[in-house]
Amino acid sequence: MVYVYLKNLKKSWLTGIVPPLVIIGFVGTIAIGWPSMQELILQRLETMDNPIMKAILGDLGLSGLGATWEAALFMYAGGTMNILLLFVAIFIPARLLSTEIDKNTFDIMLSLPIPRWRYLLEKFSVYLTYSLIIPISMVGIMLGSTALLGETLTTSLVLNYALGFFILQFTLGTISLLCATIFLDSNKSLAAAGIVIGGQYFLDSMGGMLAGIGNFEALSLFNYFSLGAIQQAGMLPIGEVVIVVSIGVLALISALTIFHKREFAF
Amino acid sequence: MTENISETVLQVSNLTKIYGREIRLGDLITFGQQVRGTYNVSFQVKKGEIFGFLGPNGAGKTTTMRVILDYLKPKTGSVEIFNFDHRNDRVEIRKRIGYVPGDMALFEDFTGEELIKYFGRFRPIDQEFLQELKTLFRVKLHKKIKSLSKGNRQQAGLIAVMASKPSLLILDEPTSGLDPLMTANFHKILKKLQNEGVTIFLSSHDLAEVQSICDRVGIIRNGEMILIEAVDALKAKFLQNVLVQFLDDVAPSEEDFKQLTSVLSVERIKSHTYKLKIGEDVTQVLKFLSNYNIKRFTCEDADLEEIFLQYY
Ligand SMILES: Nc1ncnc2c1ncn2[C@@H]1O[C@H](COP(=O)(O)OP(=O)(O)OP(=O)(O)O)[C@@H](O)[C@H]1O
Ligand SMILES: [Mg+2]
Repeated sequence: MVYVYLKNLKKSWLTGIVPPLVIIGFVGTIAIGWPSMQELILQRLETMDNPIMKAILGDLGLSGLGATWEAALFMYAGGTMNILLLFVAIFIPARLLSTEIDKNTFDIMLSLPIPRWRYLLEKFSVYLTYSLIIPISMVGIMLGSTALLGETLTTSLVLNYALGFFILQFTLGTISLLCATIFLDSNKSLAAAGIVIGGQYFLDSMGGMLAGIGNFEALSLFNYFSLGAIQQAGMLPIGEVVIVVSIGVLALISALTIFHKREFAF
Repeated sequence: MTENISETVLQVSNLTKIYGREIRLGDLITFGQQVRGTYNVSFQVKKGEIFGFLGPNGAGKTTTMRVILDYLKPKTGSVEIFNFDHRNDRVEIRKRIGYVPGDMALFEDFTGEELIKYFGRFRPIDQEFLQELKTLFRVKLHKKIKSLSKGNRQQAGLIAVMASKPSLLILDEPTSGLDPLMTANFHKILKKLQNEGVTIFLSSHDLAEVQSICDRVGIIRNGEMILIEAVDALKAKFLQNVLVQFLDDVAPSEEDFKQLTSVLSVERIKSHTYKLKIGEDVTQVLKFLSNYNIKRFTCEDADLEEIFLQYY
């Protein structure tokens, strides 16, 4: 049985429900204020063509940006989702080990008859479980509020976006986990995960501005599964899925291997 | 499988552990620092034995235990537990051992009962033995760990680790924090386990503890195992306290005693009475004393503490 998983699932439920609440609250607020907001967007539509503005809004790559509910929803909710992705992927997996090490309970956990890889995988599965709640609640609140407002929303776009989000959470999470197994210490792991994942976020959001110098956006995982690409392909672009999943699997295997082999001199 | 009484449960061979890394660039520049954890430590613990591991702070006791458990990678040496390699068969070994770390930290939000149950999921609990542990220890197991005192936490941890009645217990200063009554109860449990064939490897600073429950003792200092002896033999072989009272005025002086190589210390208590600490060669002292008229002579083994202080 997966006792490490169940124990940690129970223990860190708060970390698990806060991000979904954020997105629910955010989309809910947009929905409530939608009629007056629509006016505002119509007025500002010109400013939005401005590249800096685009960059700040997270460059979702959504074509045909208009004053529609769908566009506004994706623009604002999408930005929020990216920030959630950033924080969740950095903070949860990078600290999976250090929370136990800092409290010293790792010492006794390590003496129980459970393979190390399994221990790590069960802990990471807790993160994945909570990661699942974020896109699911996003889909729920998006479709729900759309129905309530009587607006329209392309369901397949929402579903594919949510799926892409989850895949990104997996891969960014494995990178963060890899940092944890390398550094163990919470400050160092967080710093490393922050640099690697935050750096990609930065490249993605600033990529548009740096377009003249080179294609920096391509280096960022945040750049994958954009709405534009989903719209174009009518689904998640297979090539992107292969790349992102491969990176995740590779990072996960590395993390498991390091964790299995390394020594723990704390 | 036939039970062999002298079966080796824990075999540690030539263990050297260096902490840290040192990078040298030429003779002048070095980065990092190396600290010696243990150096060439070898010993074995037999089935059903209680082996005490003694040594001053920083001697390398915890390091040795952590290498045994494969938390730390040694520079050289090998460890076998129940004939399993400590690195390749981690899980098999862990099914059979219980480890109590030096400063044992437990899941704060668990109650004692939950903790026992949780550990029991990994190593099946011996219910009968668990009941026994619960009656011998006084900790309130329905309370959350975080609300318990240090000694009570230690008790809860000991119960949780021992409830499965592991075949080998590796205990790093298990009685630190326990009050005398609980310590005595814990010793009773260890003795009982020993009778059932459980092997116990424990480190301690409490010499009375080692003296009363251990069969053999290993003394480590500065990372090196400097002595491994049966506790009884150690006491006999080493110091004996002698009290001698001479009959008439013709008594030897303190200086005379000091000439004897096996007299380690001499103390004049009264004019004709001396207290001596003598080492291995008792005959030398007896021959010397036979030149005098003696009124009273008592000799007893020094306790381990006195022996041990020589090694600190
Ligand atoms: N993580 C570590 N990094 C570097 N050096 C360490 C580390 N842990 C222990 N040491 C060093 O290794 C040596 C042995 O330490 P160890 O903890 O094994 O001693 P000990 O015998 O258990 O002492 P105590 O009785 O205080 O528990 C000490 O010199 C210590 O400074
Ligand atoms: Mg120690």
